[in-house]
Amino acid sequence: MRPAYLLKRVGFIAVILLVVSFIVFAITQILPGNAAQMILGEFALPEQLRALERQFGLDDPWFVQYGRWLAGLVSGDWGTSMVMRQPVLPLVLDALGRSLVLAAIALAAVTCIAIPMGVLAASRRGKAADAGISIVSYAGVSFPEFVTATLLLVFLTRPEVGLFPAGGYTPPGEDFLRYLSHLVLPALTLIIILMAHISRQTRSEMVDALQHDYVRTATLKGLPRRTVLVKHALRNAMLPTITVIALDVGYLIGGIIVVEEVFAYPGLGRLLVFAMQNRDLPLIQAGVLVMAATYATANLAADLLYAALDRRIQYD
Amino acid sequence: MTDRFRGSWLERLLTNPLGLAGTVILLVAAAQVALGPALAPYDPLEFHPRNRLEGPSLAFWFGTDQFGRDVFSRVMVGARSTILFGVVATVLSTAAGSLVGIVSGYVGGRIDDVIMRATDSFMAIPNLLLAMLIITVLGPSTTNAVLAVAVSFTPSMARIARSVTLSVRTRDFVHAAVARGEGAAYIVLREILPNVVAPVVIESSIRIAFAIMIGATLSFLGLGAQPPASDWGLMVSEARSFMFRNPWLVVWPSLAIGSVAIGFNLFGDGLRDALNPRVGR
Amino acid sequence: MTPGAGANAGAGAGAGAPADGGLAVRGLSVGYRTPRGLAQVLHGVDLDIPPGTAVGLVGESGSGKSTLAYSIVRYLADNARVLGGTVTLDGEDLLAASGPRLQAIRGSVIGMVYQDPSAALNPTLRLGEQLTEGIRRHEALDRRQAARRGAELLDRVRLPDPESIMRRFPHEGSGGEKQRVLIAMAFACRPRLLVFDEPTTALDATTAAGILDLIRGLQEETGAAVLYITHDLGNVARVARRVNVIYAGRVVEEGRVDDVLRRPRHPYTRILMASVPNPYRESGRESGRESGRRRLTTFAGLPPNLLSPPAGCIFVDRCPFVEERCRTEPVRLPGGTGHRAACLRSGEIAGSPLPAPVEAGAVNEPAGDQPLLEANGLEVRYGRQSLIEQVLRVPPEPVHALTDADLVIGRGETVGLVGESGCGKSTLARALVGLASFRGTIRMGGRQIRGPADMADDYRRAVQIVFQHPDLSLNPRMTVGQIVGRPLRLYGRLSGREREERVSALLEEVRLPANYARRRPHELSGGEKQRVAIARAFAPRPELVICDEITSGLDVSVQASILNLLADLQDELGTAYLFISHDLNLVQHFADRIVVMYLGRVVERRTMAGGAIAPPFHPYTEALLSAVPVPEPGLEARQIRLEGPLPSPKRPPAGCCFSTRCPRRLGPVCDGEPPPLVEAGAGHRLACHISPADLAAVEPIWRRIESEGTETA
Repeated sequence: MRPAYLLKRVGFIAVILLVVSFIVFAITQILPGNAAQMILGEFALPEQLRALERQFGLDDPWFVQYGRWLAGLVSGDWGTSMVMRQPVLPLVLDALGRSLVLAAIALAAVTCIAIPMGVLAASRRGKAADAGISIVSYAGVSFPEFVTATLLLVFLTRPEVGLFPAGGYTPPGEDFLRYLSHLVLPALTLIIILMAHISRQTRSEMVDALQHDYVRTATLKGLPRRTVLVKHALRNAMLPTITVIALDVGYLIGGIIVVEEVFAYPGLGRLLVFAMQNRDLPLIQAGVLVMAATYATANLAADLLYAALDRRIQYD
Repeated sequence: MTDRFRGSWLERLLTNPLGLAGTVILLVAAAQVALGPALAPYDPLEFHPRNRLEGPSLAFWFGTDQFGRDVFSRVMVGARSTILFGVVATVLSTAAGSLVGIVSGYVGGRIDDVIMRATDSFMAIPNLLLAMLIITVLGPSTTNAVLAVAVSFTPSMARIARSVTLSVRTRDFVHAAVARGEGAAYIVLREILPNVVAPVVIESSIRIAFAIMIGATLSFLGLGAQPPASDWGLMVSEARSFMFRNPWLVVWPSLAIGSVAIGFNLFGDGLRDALNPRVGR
Repeated sequence: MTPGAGANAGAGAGAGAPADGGLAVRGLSVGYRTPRGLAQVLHGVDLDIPPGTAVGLVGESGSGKSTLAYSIVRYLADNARVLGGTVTLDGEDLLAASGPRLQAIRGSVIGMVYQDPSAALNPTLRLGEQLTEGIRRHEALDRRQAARRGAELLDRVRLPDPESIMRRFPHEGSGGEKQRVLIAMAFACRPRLLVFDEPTTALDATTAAGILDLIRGLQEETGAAVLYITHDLGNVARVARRVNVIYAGRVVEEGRVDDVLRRPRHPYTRILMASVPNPYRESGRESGRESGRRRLTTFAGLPPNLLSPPAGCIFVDRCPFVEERCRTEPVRLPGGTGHRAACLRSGEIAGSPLPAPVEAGAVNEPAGDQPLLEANGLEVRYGRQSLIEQVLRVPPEPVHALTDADLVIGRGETVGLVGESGCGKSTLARALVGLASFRGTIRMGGRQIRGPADMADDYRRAVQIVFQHPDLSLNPRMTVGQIVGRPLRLYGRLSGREREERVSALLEEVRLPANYARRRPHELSGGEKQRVAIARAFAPRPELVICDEITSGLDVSVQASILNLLADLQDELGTAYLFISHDLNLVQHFADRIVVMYLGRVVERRTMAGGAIAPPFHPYTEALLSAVPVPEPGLEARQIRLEGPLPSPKRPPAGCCFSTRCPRRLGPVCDGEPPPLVEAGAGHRLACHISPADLAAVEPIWRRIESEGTETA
């Protein structure tokens, strides 16, 4: 892979984030009312409103405001949350850290379980194992996170069962075991839906790969079935699967928003829902942008991994 | 069986057990949508104050909620809004996405570059997040939620329509039409469009389940259907405060959402396999 | 041997068939379960390959030849069933081999080479790994030893610099290189049997010729038994001693290659041979377009339905010599080691000629001196900068698809355009019909055309094109009637009724029933689809039809009937053709003049009016000609093989485009200076630094060697 390719991909992401920032800015501009109105409340006098607007620069043309906001983003001044009256950047970064822990656990677990499941199903195509995995997968992808999460809550946190806390968060420094116990149910919810999706994807890519001529070549070379499956078929099936896993990160982000809300886990998703409910513009803008950046980074990582595995593409 | 049926995609769909199961579930769901209130033994909004938070019984098959409303009636009536939500949002996004995608793929060049960068940017915002953002602007309601989901699905539908258009466009029957001197309207409408429709429709049928799930999620978050509507997502949300006293309140709408989504998933996959026999089942 | 097979094999064994050693297939029957019933694709097939012998298996698509090959290694589709018979190799029953035993046999005792080398190699693994993993599996070698063996093998298949090849990924090699790697893989563990499944079909002619040489050399060197499967009798003559001709799942003729090619006894084999032009025979033909010269012999009817095959001879519906008893009496391939045919009448019909192809009445002689279309200095470059490349100011690197091409097509004549993949022949076609923007001019009907925008309706009507793949060139969502009727609607003002009648007439012209108008393309066979595409091209009564590799995807028998159809239409309507093909043999048979292209340039233009193609040749044309497989026993072609890869069209050589691979390269002048287009005779020009006189002083391509006739089976 040439550095130019890397540069090109990073530049590509920068452009996309720029456009996303514009989309976010535009959407928040359409919102009725503005920061000054939020602060002063419904019954503010027009003169007060105008004074505060001037102070915040809200009477400037939109592109000036956009430019100012963008400059702030780059220089580390992400504005102040209107509701919490705190700088946005540390708020967002703290919450992001807690969300990433959740996401990382879910992704790691899913990758380790779902890919072997998909390979197994494809190699036993049409047999009992395939049908079993298939039914479990269909059930898994068909229950939205809030349903799975609520059902887990109902059955695993009942006072008489009391296996896990129903929600909340404990810092790891305080009580590490309790910290972990707060992570179990949110992570499990995310794992169930993603596992189903990725194992189905792996299976269908494997079925496709197994029909290629190179699998015949490998088999007729006298290689054992396991080698044919893993070394020859899976290697090729992984390429599209990587892309799908990266796309699933987008799905995962949506899932995290819901799961954090259900389990009252103080991550970025919950922060964003709070911001939207309170129309806290700086917080909404920052939260959405950070999520989009995370997603874009995941896709970049997938692209680079793909490039490293597939030599056919000329990366120049 | 007639000859038309034998060997057709319909035969392949219905002889595949999963496809058959999906079709059956969808027929049941369609009956619920069509009949809706007629299937409900009670008015879904009627309070039965003496029977609050009861478990399943002969009088109330699925039990009652915190106001003593009949959960079975609410689930039956709620099918309409939940399922139609997914279908309408998908149809809207398919129509808009196809239009953008076909134009982008056929015209090509700089216009295609610009449209594709725009869809890339929209797709960088996860679906649910984009929908939430739009509802924050428009205000929470079922109609706005449908629009929001439709908008959030459109870029990816446009991508699919574009890639199908590109592959159709390079086939020789389009080259033959260009060489004959056909006009752009004829080529797009008569040569390309009929070949783009089938793959796009298959793709969108697979998305309906996802749209239903996002719709339910928005209702759950308070951004879609508003109380006292009988909506499955909203019902789960409202039941959470009472879930330890009456777990059935959560279970019924959850099962309803899951089974309809399974039905659409099975049907969509079955349809895709039936129309592309080479793709492995 | 199973009792069931005894009846079939008894005669053979009695006549001294080799019972031990080598491959012995006895009474093999295989079927596929389909929704409509069991389709039996092999019927009691017997096949013997003694050690050290190469045997050819020739058949068209659907004949069951691949099923036979993959039955031997037990690699059949899930719905396949072996219905009877045995397959033994050196006495070991392969159909009864256990799973682990089968793994041990595959890749070590039996090696295989496949049709499409690009698909047969794993795109994500290095060639070295793919070559050595089988060796490490079958022989107790460590990585380094296996790598050394791999390099030796690559050397034996004559690949230069084996170490660098082993480090490459498949996409970094050419088709020929990949096929050589696969051949090395097949020979890696000193197999006793090698199965070649159409190993040259996906390759260019000059590459294929080298692969055939290699296969023959390695077979002689190693003494392995070889089963060589192909649709081309000419290939068999190059590599095999004996040949089996298979039709609809039955071996219909078997014997020594010499005997079968010299005196084919089964009507199927005879027609198959007559359906391909024989370049050696053509070299003695008369000049001019006299009646019948261009017609090939074709099959009547369709192959039998495998779900309900006929009771008697499998070939009855298509045989010109059919009698009543052929329909009822069972027909078997007789036993023995001689020349055998599964035909009741093979003895009595030996002398009777095949029915001559039907002729059209009127013959339009070409008028080459009245130019219909003239193209001057055509140039096409592909490649567009992406938005980001433009922003980053990355310099464009266009593909030089076509460079300075001149072309003249006279009224009613056939110009053959020949060259291998990447030579720009299809690009030229695309430029002529306005599918590619070009520099240079096209002149037609007194009008100058400088780009697709200049092509008015009358030009587009007059110049029609037929594409290679009828699957892609017919819109699957339209009916045949809509497809054929569209040009009538576009260019003409006919009522709906008149148009329907015209469509029926056009379908009749291409020998399709009028009721096909209601069908959709997927309901038709490949040959029928191509006829529909031809009908569409002829609908507006064009003056020029461009045929871009229109028979490449078709079986030779279908190809012959399509060529006959083109000849008929030309005789009747006086339409000119630009006939594009990779197959020089076909082109020189069919065309009045030929144009040879290489790497986007015209290297030779010659008329065929003087009879067959004869020296002087451009060195590239000479290589193409020597690569044509000839189904003629006792004939040796001079081996002119091209070394090295085709240069990238992004960076064509500075001098002569052929200089990097030319076997007759003179020296620096070839690398540095573009060659002049010199006159080498009447209507004959070639682009070479070597003088025409020197080019003319070459030995003939083919030489008879009569001593070969005495070999034993």
